[in-house]
Amino acid sequence: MASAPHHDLKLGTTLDETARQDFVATLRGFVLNDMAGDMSQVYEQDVKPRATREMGHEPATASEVHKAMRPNLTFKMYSSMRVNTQEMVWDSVREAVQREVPVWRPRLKQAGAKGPGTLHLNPDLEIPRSVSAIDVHLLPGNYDSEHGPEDASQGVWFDHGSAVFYMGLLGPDQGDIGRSISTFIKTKYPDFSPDKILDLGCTIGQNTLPWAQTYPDAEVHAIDVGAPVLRYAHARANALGVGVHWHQMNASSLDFEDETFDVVWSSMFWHEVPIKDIRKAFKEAYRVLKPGGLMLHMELPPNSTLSAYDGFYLDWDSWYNMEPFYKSFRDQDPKALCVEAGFPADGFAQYVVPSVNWFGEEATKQAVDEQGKFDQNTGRFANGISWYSFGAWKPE
Amino acid sequence: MTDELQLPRHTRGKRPHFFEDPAVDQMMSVVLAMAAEVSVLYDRVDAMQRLMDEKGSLSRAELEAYQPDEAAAAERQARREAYLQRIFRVVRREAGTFSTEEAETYTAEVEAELSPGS
Ligand SMILES: C[S@@+](CC[C@H](N)C(=O)[O-])C[C@H]1O[C@@H](n2cnc3c(N)ncnc32)[C@H](O)[C@@H]1O
Repeated sequence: MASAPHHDLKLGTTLDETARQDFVATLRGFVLNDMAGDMSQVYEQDVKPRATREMGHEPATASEVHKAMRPNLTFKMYSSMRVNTQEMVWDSVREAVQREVPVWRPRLKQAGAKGPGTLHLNPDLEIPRSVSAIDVHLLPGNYDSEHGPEDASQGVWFDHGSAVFYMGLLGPDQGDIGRSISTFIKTKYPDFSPDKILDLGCTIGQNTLPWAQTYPDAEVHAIDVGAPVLRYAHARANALGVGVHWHQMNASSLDFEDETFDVVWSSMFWHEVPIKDIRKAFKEAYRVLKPGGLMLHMELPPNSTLSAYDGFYLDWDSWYNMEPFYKSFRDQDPKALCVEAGFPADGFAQYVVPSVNWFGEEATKQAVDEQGKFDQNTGRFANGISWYSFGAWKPE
Repeated sequence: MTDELQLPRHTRGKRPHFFEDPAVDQMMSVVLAMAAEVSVLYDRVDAMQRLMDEKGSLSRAELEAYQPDEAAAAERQARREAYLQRIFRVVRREAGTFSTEEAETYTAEVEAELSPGS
């Protein structure tokens, strides 16, 4: 089922809208669990043996699996249903946003004004074409479209749409990624107590707030290029009583001083950024990090850690979900990216963290003693998920 | 009065398509949208029945404001899941197909009967 956001900026939805959202969330579960299971079975039983015969070797890369799968009927049905479901996610909340937001604009403003957080927009910031020119994962208008003065609609749309999208997997506040990983880090490194934390590409702050909650004494800053998502992030955080400082900034060129932060964090960010901007942003992360600080990113696991089939399965989004930078990021070696940015090779770290929402907090805490294991549920939005994260420590 | 808000209904760029005839892709979209509407109707009927059971009467305001309790929500969710398995039964056939010699022979015989040379 969909799980509606829990704060007083929740949209009012009608009986039928709620039913439509519940249907779409259930359909997504069906596609991502049942249909995805069928597709991997069909691959093993029909597609792989045939492709192996034709090519003279087993499909060895994600692209070879993709080519072999493309004519298959189960692949077509899965893909068609996934594209439609993605469109239906956003469409199932569009009317409610359209109806309600104009009515509760004053409420949004109030929540923004009351604190404890602050908002710093920069109307002169040039929005990268990778955001302004496309509709990433098929949200019409993306993160940056404004439909009036001081508009936050795209942020509201994103919040309520993602409640349908995640099928309740990420908990009522959709903050499971930030919660699982910050809990994991705090348990694994009990003596590490960050004073200042930065989140890159925060959108509406779903995975920013858990860091502020895990480290209540830390000052938390978050940046994004999209003004509407930041306006809403700010109001939402205030409504939830969590103080974060929101800035409209480009991750590839940060306005912060050198050596400002103990943690530079991001979640699901890099796969939406062109590789040349990623390289700049990693250098920026190194620059603003204090000695002894940690840069840590939750992302999809890189293709090199996955079987050809699992790589194909995750690459699907780059072909069909308006995610043009997704594959080029996943083809990178995470360690090489960190080293290129200035981190020492032995400072590199990666963690596979079981989801708190799925497995419970104890399981997440216990995982600190295990060497992270990659499996087919790593980074995959389905039952039994664990999160992949990587990064590096800056030397003292 | 508040300002009207118009959100875009479509994304920029081409929609991906998977079938030889793009009409099939459009039909899939229509079928899925219809499937959603049937489920919406079902949930509405279910809400009416539950309110009738509980109160013996039904008002529009109560119906529109209906919120299932935990047990009802679980039943409604199970209904949605079973509904998807029913309507997509045929789609799931590929992965589960197994055959017997008799079944294959039968298919071959039918195909031979219908082939132009026979
Ligand atoms: C997938 S979302 C991130 C989701 C979010 N971190 C979370 O965990 O919910 C990607 C975000 O990155 C932002 N973005 C894209 N390019 C950027 C850049 N160069 N600098 C800062 N933000 C950027 C987009 O506006 C968008 O809000």
